[in-house]
Amino acid sequence: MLHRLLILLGILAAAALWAGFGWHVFGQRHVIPYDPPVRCLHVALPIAPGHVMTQTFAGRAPGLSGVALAFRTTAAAAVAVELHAHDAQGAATPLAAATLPLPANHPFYTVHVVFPSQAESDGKTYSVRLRRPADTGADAANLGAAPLAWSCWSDGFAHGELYVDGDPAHGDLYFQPLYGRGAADAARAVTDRFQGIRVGIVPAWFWWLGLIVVLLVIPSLAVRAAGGRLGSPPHIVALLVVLPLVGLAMSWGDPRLHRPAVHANAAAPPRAASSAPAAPQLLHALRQQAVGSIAPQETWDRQLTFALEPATAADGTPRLVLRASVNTTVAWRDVTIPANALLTVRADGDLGRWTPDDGPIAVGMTVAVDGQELVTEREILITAAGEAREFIRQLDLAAYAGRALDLTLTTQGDTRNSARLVVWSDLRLR
Amino acid sequence: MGANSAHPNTAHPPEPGDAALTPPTAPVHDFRALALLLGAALALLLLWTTVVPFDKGPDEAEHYRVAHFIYTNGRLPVFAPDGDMYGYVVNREEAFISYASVPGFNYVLAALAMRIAPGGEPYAPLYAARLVSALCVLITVYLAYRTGRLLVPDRPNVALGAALLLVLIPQVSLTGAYVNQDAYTMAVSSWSLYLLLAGWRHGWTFSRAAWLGLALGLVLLGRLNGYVILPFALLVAGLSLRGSVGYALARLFTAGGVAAAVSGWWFVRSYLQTGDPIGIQANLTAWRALAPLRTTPREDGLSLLDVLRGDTPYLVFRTFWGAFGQLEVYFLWPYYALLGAFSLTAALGLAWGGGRWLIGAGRSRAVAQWRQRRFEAFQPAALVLLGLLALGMTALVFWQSWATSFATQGRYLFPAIVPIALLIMLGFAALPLGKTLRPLAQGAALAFLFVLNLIGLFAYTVPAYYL
Repeated sequence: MLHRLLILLGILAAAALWAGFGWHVFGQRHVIPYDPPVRCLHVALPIAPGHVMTQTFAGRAPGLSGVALAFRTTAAAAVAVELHAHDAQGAATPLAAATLPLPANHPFYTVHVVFPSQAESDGKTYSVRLRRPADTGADAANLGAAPLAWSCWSDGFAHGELYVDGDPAHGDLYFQPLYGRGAADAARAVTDRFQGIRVGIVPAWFWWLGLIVVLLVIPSLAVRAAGGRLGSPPHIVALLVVLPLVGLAMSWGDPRLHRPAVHANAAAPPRAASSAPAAPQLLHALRQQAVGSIAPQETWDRQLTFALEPATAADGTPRLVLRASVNTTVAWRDVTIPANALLTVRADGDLGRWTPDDGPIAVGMTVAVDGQELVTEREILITAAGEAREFIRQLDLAAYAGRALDLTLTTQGDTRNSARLVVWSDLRLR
Repeated sequence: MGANSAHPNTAHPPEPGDAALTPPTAPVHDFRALALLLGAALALLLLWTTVVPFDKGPDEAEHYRVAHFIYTNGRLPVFAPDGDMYGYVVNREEAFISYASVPGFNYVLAALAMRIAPGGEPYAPLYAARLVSALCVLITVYLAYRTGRLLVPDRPNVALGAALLLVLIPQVSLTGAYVNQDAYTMAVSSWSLYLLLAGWRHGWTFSRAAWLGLALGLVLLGRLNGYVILPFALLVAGLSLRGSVGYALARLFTAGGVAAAVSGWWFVRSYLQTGDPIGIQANLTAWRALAPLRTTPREDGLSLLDVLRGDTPYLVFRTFWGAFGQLEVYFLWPYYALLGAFSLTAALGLAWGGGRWLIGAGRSRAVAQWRQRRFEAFQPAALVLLGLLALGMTALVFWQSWATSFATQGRYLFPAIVPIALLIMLGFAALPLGKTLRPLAQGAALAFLFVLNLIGLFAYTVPAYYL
């Protein structure tokens, strides 16, 4: 009798623990805001003082309760985030605001901004606004310290638009809306998924049955494989209790599932427009038209394909630099050439990070007009002996004034240390 | 298939010592456990199959394109710039090259399943094609069990554990969930391995040689990395074929003839269409034409050692155990650290067990047993050879990573997944932990993989694409 009671209690405990595990994993769902999925070509965009980056998106479920954002930083910085709801006429109502402290030198810092759940969020239009806090206006001269927001150059990542200072910009911000929900909603979402893919006469409950079979039979087989008795209730119940605990322990330390969040205020105070000086026009123009490709070796956690970074030249003038890992292709499509244009490409290997084991680092450059290559060159930037060489090419584009050009930069080099070794290109178009 | 018969075919005089290779106690299958294993594995694979969205397995769209062509046209596609399929440019370094150029009998099987499946586009044909991958993994699970029983008949829990471990590897579950070549190659390679070991242990009858020929023929119609089974087959044949030269040649020609009959048509067709019997040269030509700036580490002047000192081994390790979508969703690094500890524990167990065997009377006894062709000598020799096969597959993947820039993927080790799973379970079974702790370690290892599998499916794949 006691034996049966213990088994019953064990089953109840196992059920509760599995429910807890499910709640922990599914309690807050992350929605990649696109449909159908497209591959995101990651590009980091500078959040320059005085500028506002706005991404609109449509709520796809009730209970919008947060936004996950990703940043790249060179120096410790702060970014102000605001969430607005938009009515049918486009009028914006501030919902929440927060200031995110960002650590220095982080290649891919993700942060959850959470706010009170929006019950009626399904189908409504929202916007996320990013800008530097007003008190960093004095930072304007130090453009190199600006934090960068990861975005996707593939337009269509989100059901919405990216705007910079109110003007439509290429691509979309890389972000994920978060929706809080109960366990029943989570279960229903999975059932809906199963229902959507039913094949022939297979009903949705079949998949739930499959899940139950998996949960019950595999632990029993594990017990058997460990030398125990197949179908032994005490062993199975013990394992069924232990498994969700293992799962919880594993997932608890996983920031993907259990991420620290920044809590936003319930309402965003209205803010005056910053009077900080505008970023270089070139930065804005090129930012609009860049596309990038991911080298085949790059992986999810290293999709740091390239970044357009504002920096300050020695003479104090702001300029644009391209920071790219080796084996990266960056292309600017359909750049309209101004009158008397001179394209300057300057590249340097980062000798400070180079070691003899890294081998030679080279950069290649291709400039094409309407698909026809004008220049294709490849130059060693750091030789195998550690000698640094300068790569400067100037191309007079006056003959193409008013036409659209494709400019492609290809960096090639040793893949062993692609995370450490970088190539800097200084692009100027005057 | 006759591979499990306790004695060779009596139509041919048995070779001396064949009977001795069969252990005194014939293996008794645990049918209940086996049925539950296959049922649970099928349920798990179907869960993965239905949850993974289309094209969220590596290159599924490209694989499905070939299967769908065969399904709609009733013939194989012609690979040529002006043919049915070739490729398309992404940019000057990236292109998608059709899989129509390389052997792919799996696409024919998928097309057959698509024809049979009830229901219309788009879901029924897709899931029917995916079901072929799931069934291939299921067959591999069964073969892992049978191979385990063949090699360690006195430890049925090792065979069961290896088969369970195999399907619980998240990458294997994913491989059974989308249209690809890997699942098919895994199944037919595992079948070939099983038949080779069965032939070694029970003796080579004509029937067994013919079955092996069929299996090797199917390997030749699969992904090229499965071809590594062919030199392994020759090695095992050299070790296990006894008797007169005529006896050995007759079996070799039987196996080779059946393999040629099964697969030869593909190579002739490929040669007539592209001038390249295997199709890999045509494939590389397409890469050069459509992605001229694409370079391999070898072309960049790197040595194989350079590649091994870089990120490649870690990338292969991660993509062996679990990387999802188009290899864009990875576990967080602590999971891989745990998997590293898991692998290291199994390796230490193997080293401990092997060391004890070598230091003890095992080695000298084995030599005598080898001369007598006794089962006790077959077992360690076969295990060593399987270990060498796994290492050889790993070396091949590294070589491919250096010579081609798209082979840095752990799932290319899957033709040797049965030996790998068996060796891992044997490693855990050999840990010097005592009678109480050792079963706990074995159970904990499987429980860990089970939870990891569920996390991979429900906590990584589902949130990344759906919920």
